[in-house]
Amino acid sequence: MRDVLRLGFILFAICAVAAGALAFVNDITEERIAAQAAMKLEQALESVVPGAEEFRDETDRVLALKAAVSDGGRPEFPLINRVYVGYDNGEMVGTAFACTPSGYGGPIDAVVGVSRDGVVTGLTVVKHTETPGLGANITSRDFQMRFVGLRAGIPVKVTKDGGQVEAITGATISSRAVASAVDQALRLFELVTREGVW
Amino acid sequence: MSFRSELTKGLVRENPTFRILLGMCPTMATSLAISNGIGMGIAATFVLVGSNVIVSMLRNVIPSRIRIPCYIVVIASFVTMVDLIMAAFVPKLHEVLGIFIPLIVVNCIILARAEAFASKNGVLYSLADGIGMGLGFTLALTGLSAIRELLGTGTLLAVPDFGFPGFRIFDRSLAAVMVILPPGGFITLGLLIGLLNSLTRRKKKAAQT
Repeated sequence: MRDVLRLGFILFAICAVAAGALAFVNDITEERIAAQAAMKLEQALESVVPGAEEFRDETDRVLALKAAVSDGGRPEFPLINRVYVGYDNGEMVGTAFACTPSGYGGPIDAVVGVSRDGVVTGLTVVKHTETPGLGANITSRDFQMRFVGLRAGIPVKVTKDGGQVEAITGATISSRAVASAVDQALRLFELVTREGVW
Repeated sequence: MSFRSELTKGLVRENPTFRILLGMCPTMATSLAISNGIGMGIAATFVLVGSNVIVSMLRNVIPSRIRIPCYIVVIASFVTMVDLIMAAFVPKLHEVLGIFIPLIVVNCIILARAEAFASKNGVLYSLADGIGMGLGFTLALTGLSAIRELLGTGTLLAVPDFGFPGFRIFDRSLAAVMVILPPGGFITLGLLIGLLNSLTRRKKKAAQT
């Protein structure tokens, strides 16, 4: 009995020291990591909506428009996190949708750019934990260009699911995740345009 | 036992990938392109050295009955700290090596060296063991990935994170995609282990006669 207590205490002490050290490291790095994430998002937005000089976060307006849940009780656009509208000299040039689909190794942070007439202008992956060499190829330009030019109105799917986008060899799940994000971005774009938010 | 022999044993003699067959999961997953192999190797070496030194320092404090959970706490904390510090201070490097970090946690080479070596030896030897094993892992991954990248995609030294397409050796249509999928990985690894074994056997025979 005393032995159990002794072992428990030692394990507790080691865990406590580890937790303290982690809290300390988190404290000194948190701000810098957040600043870098904001900078990366800015770059991502600029790369997917070419020509935009300024972005405004219009998520709240879009959220006010769409019903939070569909008839089935599931969230309507679960993958879309934020919606940014890009302007050039006060004129709207396109919309960027920040999405988080689930890949093979965890959530994928992607940004999809859609032009005013509903064509995908760009796609970029901000953060992911896919398998290096397979799913990680979703960051390659070659793969991302497969989505550029797709139009709203046609569901976006990988060829294995009867769609138009060729998946990465050996990484169907990662490819499918990105395709579902683009699909939801285009569908939300259609809804927003139909309702005349901008 | 000398510092130098501890440092070099991981390269060939006790190579973690080809001889001890440890860490097969990250080996199969990351040996698809030379750049991935080197990236995973460097990240793993860094964590291996750190965890070996810490475990060796704590070897007299940790009771043997609860050593495994203790090692796991030490390794997981160390990996998380490396991840956070890299993300905050060297974001460019983190972007390239960051995807390997979750794979390091499940890399059993780290736990195996803590258990088999660092928990029984001094800090200096554990440091040498960590560096040697890490370099051996890097070397094995680089060799394996060079073969797989060449046969599987027809290129060499492609670095997709930097947008560098690599040197094309032959056309993509001639490449055997199976080599970059897991079955091809195991076949390549098996052939390399066989080659290494037959080379050392021949050497031993030559030494005997």
